[in-house]
Amino acid sequence: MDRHALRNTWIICKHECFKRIRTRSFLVTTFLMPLFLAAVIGIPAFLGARSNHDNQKIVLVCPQKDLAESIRERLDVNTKGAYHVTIDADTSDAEHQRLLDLVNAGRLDGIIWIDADSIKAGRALYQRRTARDFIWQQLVRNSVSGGFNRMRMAEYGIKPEQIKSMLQGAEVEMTLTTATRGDSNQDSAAIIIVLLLATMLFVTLLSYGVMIMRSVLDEKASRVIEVLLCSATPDELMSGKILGVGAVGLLQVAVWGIMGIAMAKPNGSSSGLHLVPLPLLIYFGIFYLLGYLLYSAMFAAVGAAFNSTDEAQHWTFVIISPLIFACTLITPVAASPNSSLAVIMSLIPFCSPVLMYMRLAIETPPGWQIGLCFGLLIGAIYLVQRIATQIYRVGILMYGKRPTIREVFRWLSYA
Amino acid sequence: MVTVELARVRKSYDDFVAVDDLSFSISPHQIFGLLGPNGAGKTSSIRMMIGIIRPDAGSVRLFGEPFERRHLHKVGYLPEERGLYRKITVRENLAFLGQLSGLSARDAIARGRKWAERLDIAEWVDKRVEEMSKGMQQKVQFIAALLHEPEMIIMDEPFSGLDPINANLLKDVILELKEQGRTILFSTHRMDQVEKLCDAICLVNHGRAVVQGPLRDIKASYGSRFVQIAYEGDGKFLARCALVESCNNYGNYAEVKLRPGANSQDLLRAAMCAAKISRFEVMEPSLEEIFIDRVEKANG
Repeated sequence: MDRHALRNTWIICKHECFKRIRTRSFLVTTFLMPLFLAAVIGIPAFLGARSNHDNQKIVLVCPQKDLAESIRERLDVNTKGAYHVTIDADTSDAEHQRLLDLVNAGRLDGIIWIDADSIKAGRALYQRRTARDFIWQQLVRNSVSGGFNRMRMAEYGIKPEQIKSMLQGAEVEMTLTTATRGDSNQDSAAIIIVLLLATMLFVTLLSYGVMIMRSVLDEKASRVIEVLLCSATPDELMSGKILGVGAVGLLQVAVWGIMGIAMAKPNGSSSGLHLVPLPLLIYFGIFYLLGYLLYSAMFAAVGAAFNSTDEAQHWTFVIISPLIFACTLITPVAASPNSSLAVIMSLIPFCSPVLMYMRLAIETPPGWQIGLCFGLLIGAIYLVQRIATQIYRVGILMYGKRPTIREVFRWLSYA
Repeated sequence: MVTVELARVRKSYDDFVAVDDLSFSISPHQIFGLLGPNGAGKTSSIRMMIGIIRPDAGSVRLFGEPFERRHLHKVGYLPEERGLYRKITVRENLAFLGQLSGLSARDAIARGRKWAERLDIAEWVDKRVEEMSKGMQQKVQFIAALLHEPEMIIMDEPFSGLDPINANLLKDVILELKEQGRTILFSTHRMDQVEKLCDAICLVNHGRAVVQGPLRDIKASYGSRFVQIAYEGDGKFLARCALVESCNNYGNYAEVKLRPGANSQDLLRAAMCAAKISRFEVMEPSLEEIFIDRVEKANG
């Protein structure tokens, strides 16, 4: 590229970038999106957190005092004191009806009914007005079941201390050897954040690719392209546009990142971004850039080949399908990052930005695989850019009917 | 040194030949007309001239040298299909297009403002393009082509879509540019609009040159073979007259084309014998008539 071409590419890049940064939609998506996401994630979490401290009034009806006490104790531990359990030994039908009336009137949240027959059969009835506490149902089940187990063990003559010791189980702490921090909660949060980042990679690649395509279609439809072509070559126009829009994308992602970290501070809760090791954030930037260069060129070519968004829509889907496929593989790859499926798919350039990133986040793959992945990705970018530039060069001057695939392939041979 | 020279240029798209063995040259300080009907190959020729497309065969020279992109800084181009970025202001459009033509953003804006005043759109400079009328947008486009003071200006269908007042304003500016020594190339299918402005022309049809050269020479070569006659009486004599090659007779008025070598004075004498003549005018052929004549001859 000579000096003149570089200057043109720079002017076009600047123009594309500033034109977008100043629009209202950019400001809205950049600054309000994180707030919106925070609200979407934060409000249910806030409500969920509040409901933990709800005083759930539960009546446990059980004629056998030891069993009732044992269940109450388990419930207290399991629900961290959220359930206030009153024990009632009266198992008459009248009492049952009275309690049901209280539940229906909203003065009681639930009844756990265990009469003499139930004790023999090893059954219990948990009755509520609503299914609002579906998250807690398993805890109730565990607590009641635990109470029964203790009762049966005692019947076999096992001493209370022995029962306690037998049912104690073990605390399992999980840490990653790659993480510097030892806190297991933080490590699993980091995995979730990496999953979010991989999804974000997909969303940004897609949205900025489509932005390129729209922009080319727009220049073609408004005929600005004719004026531009007198001063700049198609190669300069395409690369300037790709770099300019890419810079906007990078800026937006950076702003989101900074806001994510900043938002975490005031209330002490964590946005999680600071939990991701720095190399993974750097890899995110690299894979974003490489993935963007690969996909944006294809979007530019599609924009140039067709006359309207409607015509191009079908091809948009064809272009992004490898990326969608890669996203469906995120979970299996995360589950076994060294399986042959994960290794092969993470080397294929159209999937690697998402899948190799996922593998890097979970367990560092062998060096040769990382090297091969970058080599293939860069090679694919070179090839795709060359083909796309040729389609772009011919396509931007073609108006009228929608071209067939055969025609587009023929363009590749044009001078 | 000629400003533009196309030598035996050819361009085809699959089976369609857009430009076929076309040669012409444009001298400095000339207004040159590249004329012909729609689809004759004018736009393809211009695109090859400024490197948007490459010829399959033949060569293009600009300012006496084989084509190179650096020459384009001396060329201003007003394409037939005009466009600006609609969502940004006139100033931003001019700054961007001016920079691509080699100016600094500041120079482009300063020059743009001067031109905007000259073309009566000064108050629109900070408005978005989408707020302007089509005619005003066309003026902005015209300014964009002239910002970098090019030595040569190429205009594809410059008058299309302009009202008579603005067409006149544009014509005045074009004549000013010519006085300043610029070379101007017009391309249009509206031959009547530019024949008064052009110094030289090339008429093209189906990608080939039909006739070309200085306009005066072309018209002179046709001599004075076109006559308009207004008469009272029997007009049938015109159809029988051996001097007449063809005739459009409207009853009291006729447009006559004489046979090669025929003398208009002989026709006047013959007409006076047959009818009462109220007007007899020897006309220069219009470009359109020359074009039709040449195409008919070429088609046999």
